[in-house]
Parts: sequence; C-alpha cells; structure tokens
Amino acid sequence: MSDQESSAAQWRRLARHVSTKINMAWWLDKLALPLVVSSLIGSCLILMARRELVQFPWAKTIIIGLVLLLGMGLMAWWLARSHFESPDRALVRIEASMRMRNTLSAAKQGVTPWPNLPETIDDGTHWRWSRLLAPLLASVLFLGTSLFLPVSARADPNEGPLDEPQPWKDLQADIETLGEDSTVQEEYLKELEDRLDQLRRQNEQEWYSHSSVEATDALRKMHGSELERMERNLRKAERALNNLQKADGKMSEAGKQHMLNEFEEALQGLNQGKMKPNQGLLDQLKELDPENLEQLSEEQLDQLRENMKQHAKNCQQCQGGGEPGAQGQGDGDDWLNDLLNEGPENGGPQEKQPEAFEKRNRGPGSAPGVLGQISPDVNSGDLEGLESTDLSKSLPGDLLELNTGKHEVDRSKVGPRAGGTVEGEAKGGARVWKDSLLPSEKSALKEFFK
Amino acid sequence: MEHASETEVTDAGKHVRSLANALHQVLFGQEELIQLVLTGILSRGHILLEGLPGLGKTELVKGLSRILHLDTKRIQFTPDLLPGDITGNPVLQEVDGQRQFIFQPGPLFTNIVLADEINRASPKTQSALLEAMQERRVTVLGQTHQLPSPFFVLATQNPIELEGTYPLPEAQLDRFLFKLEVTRNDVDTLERIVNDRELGTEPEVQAIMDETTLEEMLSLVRRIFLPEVVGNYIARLVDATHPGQSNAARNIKYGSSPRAALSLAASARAHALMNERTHASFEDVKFVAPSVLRHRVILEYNARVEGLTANEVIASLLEEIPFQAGATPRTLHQTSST
Repeated sequence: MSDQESSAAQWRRLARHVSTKINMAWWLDKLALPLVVSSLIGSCLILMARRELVQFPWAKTIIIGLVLLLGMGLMAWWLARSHFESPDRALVRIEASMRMRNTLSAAKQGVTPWPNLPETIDDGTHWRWSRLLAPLLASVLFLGTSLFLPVSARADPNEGPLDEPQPWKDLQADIETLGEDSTVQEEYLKELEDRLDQLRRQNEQEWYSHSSVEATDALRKMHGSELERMERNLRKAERALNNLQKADGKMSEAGKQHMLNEFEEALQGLNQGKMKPNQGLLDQLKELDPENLEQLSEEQLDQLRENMKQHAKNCQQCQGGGEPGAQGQGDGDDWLNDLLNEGPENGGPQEKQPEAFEKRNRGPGSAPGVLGQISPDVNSGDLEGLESTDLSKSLPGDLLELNTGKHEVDRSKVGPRAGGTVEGEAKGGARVWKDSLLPSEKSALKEFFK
Repeated sequence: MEHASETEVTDAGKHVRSLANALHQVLFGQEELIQLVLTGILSRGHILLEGLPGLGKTELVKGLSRILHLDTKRIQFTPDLLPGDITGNPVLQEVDGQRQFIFQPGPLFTNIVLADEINRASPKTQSALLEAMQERRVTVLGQTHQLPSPFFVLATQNPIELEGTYPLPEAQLDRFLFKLEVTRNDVDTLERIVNDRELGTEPEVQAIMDETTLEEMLSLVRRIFLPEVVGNYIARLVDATHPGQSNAARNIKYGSSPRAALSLAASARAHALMNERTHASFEDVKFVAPSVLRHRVILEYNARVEGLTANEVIASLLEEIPFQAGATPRTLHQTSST
C-alpha cells in the first residue's frame, strides 16, 4: 500500500469515526425527550401497580421496560435518521474545523494528494455532558423513586375473612358470659344475638361503614344501658333487703317504708326491663314479702342476697357494662347517697354513663388550623354601638346632646305695632341662633351654612 | 475540463505575487485592497471602488494598466456625458465616392476602462455601460461591435457630495463583481507617501505581464477545482441573504441574485490561484464574500435607521452560516464557528 493510499485509508477511518459520533449524538438527542416522558409515565404506572397489586410483577416490569426502551431507541433512530452524517460529510467537518482549506475534499476528488494525518485531530465538536446526562439522570430518578418509594399495597380481598369489629366481639362475649351463668333470661340474649347476626350478615366490606358503626354503637349502648339498669336494680333490691334484714324491726316507720319502696321500685325495674334476671331469681323476688321477712330464714335471705350480688357482679363484668370496677363503687353505701339526693331520679351515680360508652363519640372534630392559619378573632357578629364625636357633619334635627338647660324664650307679649317701627331689641333672625342657641347647636348651624 | 496542475498554479502564483509587489509600489498600505483588485481582475470581473477623494483609487487603476501592459482609457463621468460619448458614434464619411456612416469607437473600446466618478453621469449614460459590462460588446445604430478582450471596467465613486449625482441602479451594481471600499491610510503609510512621492508626479512602474500571459492566467482560474461542498456553501450563503432564510437576513429587504453566487465561485477560484492552490476552499469564499455581496443586498429601512451597514449584516451572515451543510446536534458542542 502506497503512502497516499495509507493516508486516504486513515482519513476515511477517521471520517467514519466522526460520522459515528455525530450520528450517535443525533440519536441521543432524539431519544432524550421520549426517555424522560416515558420514564415519567412509567413511574406513575409502577406506583399505581405497586399500590393496586399485592405482588408487584418485577419480571414482567423489567421485560416491558426493556421492550419499551428498545422501541424508543428505534423511534429515536427513525427520527434522527434524516440528520445522520455520512463519512464524506464528516470529512468536510474535519477539514473545516482543522482549517485545511478543503484539502480533503479536493483529495477525495483526486485533485490534490491526501495530506498526512496530523498528531492531533479535531472534528470541531465535543460532548455536551450536561445535556447528555440530564435526561438519563431524570429517568433514573423517576424510575428509582417509583420503585423504592414506600407505598403500601391495598389489602388482598382474597386473603381471608375480615376481622370483625371489636364491639361485636365484646357483645358476643357478653352473650356467652350471661348465657353460661344464666344471669339473664334467654329471650334477651336471643334477641341480642339476632341483631348481632343481622349486622354480621351484611357484606364484609360494609362492616366498618358509617351505618354499620352507628348501628353497632346503638346496639352496644342499648345493651350497656340494660346491663347497667339491671345491675343497678339488683343492687338496689339487695341493699333494701339487707337494710330490712339488719334493721330487724328497729327501723323507723318512715325508713322502713322507704326501704320497702326501694325494693318495690327495684323489683318493678327488673320486671319491666328488656333484660331480666333469670326466671328463678325473678320468681323468688316476686314471691318475697319484704314486710314479712321472718317467713324466710336468715340463711335463705343471705343466699338470696348473695345470688343477687352475684348477678349484679356478672352484669358488671360484662364488656357492654363498661370497665370492670367502674360501676358499683361504694358498694353497700350508695343507698345513703340516694337518700340524700332524694332518689336516683335526680341524678347521682346511677345517672353516670358507663365510661366505656362515654368514649364512644364522633371524635374531637377537625384539628384547629387544618384548613389554614386561624385568623385572629375580630369579634365579627358582635354588635357594637358606634358613637360619633365628629359634630362637623351633623345636620339640623340630629341629636347632638342632651342637656338640662332651657332655651330662653321671650315670653313678653308684643302688641300690634305700626310697620317700620322698632320697639325693642330684636329677637328674631341672627339673634335667634347667636344669642338663644346652645353652643353645640350654634356650631352645627355654622357648619351647615358654610 | 482538466483541473489546474500544481505546476501551473505555482507559476501563476509567482506572477500574481510580482503583480501585487508592483502594485504595492503604486499604492502604499492597501494590501487587502490590492489583493482584492487582483482577485477581481483574475475573475474577469468589473470593480467598483468607493472611497473619499485623494485616497489613490485612480492611481491604483492607472498603475494596474501599466503593470498589465494593457490599453487603458479614462472617462470622467459628468452629468452632461452622453451614451454616444462613451460607446462611440457613427460619422458620415465619403468612402469610394459614396457617403457612409462609419462607426468611430468611443473610449469603451479598450482593455481597461477607468470610469471616474461614475455616479455623476446620467442614468442614460450609466445604462450604456450595462451591455458593455455584461456582454462585452456595444450596439450602435443596429450594429454590434465587439469590445477587445480582456475588458475590465474599474469605476470609482465618491460616497460624499452626493448632490447632483445619480446613484447607480441595482441592475448596474449587480454587474460589478466587487465593490471595494478604499479606506484612509494610517500614519506610517502617510509618512511613507510623503517621503516617497511628490505632488503631480506618477510613480514609475514597469510592465510585468503581457496580454497573452494574462489571458492564460484568466483561463487557468476557470480550471481551479471548486469542491462540491464549497459550491454548496456558496449556495447556502447566497440563499441566506434572502429575508426569512437566516437570522441575519431579517435586516435585508432584498437578497442577492444567482449572479452573486457565480461571482463568489469565480472570485473564490481566483483567490485560490493567488494562494497557489489547485482548489478553492471555504476560506476563499469567506474572504471574497463581503466584496461580492455588500452591493448586492438592500437593507431594510429599520436596519438603515439603526445605523446597520451592509458590511455588518454580511459579517453576521458569515458568522451564522456554517461551512458544513448538516446541523450539529444539541448533545454536541461545536468548538469552532465552522
């Protein structure tokens, strides 16, 4: 190979290299925008998939991503194709940037010999890294964020039965407890269980809906109220019996009557409520004559009272009855408070709602400032009287002040006079306001006639 | 056509160098002007020299005619000059006993015409130059008379004292290959002029080239290779002078004609020959472009009001149009303005 051929080959190789660089730059230029846009869209899709799907399909995602990347690469190539430079044009770029006065173009045509390849070659271009890397980094950032941002997947509906609300469990526990001990009659428990089943039968997705929670809350309140009422009546009746038993005829007639009334009221309450003690206890209480307790032995009475206490305790221990121990404090001595407060109807310990129920409410409301900064209170809506002290704008007829002073009215009688004669000091015209009016009236008139 | 060889080009380059050296003895401190005048002559073009009085325009032309050993006539253009005064008139003469109109050639029938203060002649007389400049022939009373070859018109005009002048029409301006601006000399040059010259005497120069050698060089210029990419650059450059084709052209009302492109190609070839190259290049085009284009673009009114000149617009045009045809992608940074 001659020197000329060797030089020509070197220049052509260099031209191909530059051509490849230019074409690659065009391809990357056209790829940048689709890459950023598709990575942004892809990130959104990945986030949605991670949210919606229980198991994120990594393999599928990688395959789809690679296919998309390939597609975008082909599209960018298609768009950049019209800008691609041939090696011949790259040769022109080289000779232009190296100020070779078109020697290479002339040499290509055989007009001049090929020059020797210089040590340093400059094609007049270098990579603009900021422009090159920005789309790539943006894409990586988008995709990385979508892949590693902590997002919890939605619960799998096929995962298993939904855990039922805690109040239902509490009510069910109460039913079982009260049923095992035969504390209350079966009818009540059956009705309660029916209503609970009715709630359970609705769609599981609806268990925690607003209406379901409302219904549960109502059922729970009703049950709690019944428990409380029965417990209270049992304790009341037990206290009355206890007092009557202990008094042993020494009690005053009024006190005895009060205790009898107490017992009667408690028995009536037990009989009328939805929740009734078991039939055996209720029958015993009905058959008992409190005025004639001697018909029963002391052991029988103690047994009966103990039975009532146990029932009351059972009621207290139920979940629907509130926290254990919240009720029944001052056991045995509350009746004195009842007496002092003239009966339970006027409020007292019995009127207190169980603490567990008091907790059930609609929350404390929205947090302050959740919709923005709270504006200072400007007392809007309050009506405040305004008192104007600026008398310069007052008009005749406006109330300027209240004064105890009186106008000096000339009450002297004036008889008929001939025209043109003056018989005394003038009282009308300017005199009127200059001499007769109050200072504030004068200034008001002055302002008006200015 | 066979391309010029290295030997031919080298020989021609020596001749051109001796021509330039001789002209440097006539006109001091105007190297670029002399180079452009020689480029214009080698391109067979007509040249319009514009400059203030006393800068040596006429001396340059006279010196050129002596160096080239060509027949030269000077026409001082005045408002009362008639077309016949420059082309020639038929005169009634008796030949063989018969009276005939015999054409008496005017001053145009020469190799170099020095048209001094061309813008002072009436448009009618100026237009008489049109056919002579373009076709290199004159038609009088239906008879066409060929002008001698080579034929060059070197015109001068004064950019000031424009009262009573007739600005050259665009069509006639387009026929000038170059419009050269003769600028004032610096102090060193003035000092040299004062020391070497005397008022009223002309510098003595010897003829360096005869007509035959000049014709050979003129034909050699045509054999200088113009690469396709250079032709493409010329085409893009001329196209960019038209409004809407480039940013610089927003200040241009009318762009250049295809004749401008041909002039660029011819003068680029001539400049390449002067630099002893067998092929023209982008740099040659860039060198001659201002002289070729400055009188071939008409600026917008707004640009003129803003004080822009054709030179500035063409400079920005040359800056804007890259040598290579393809654009550069945004992912690459172009280090040179090429």
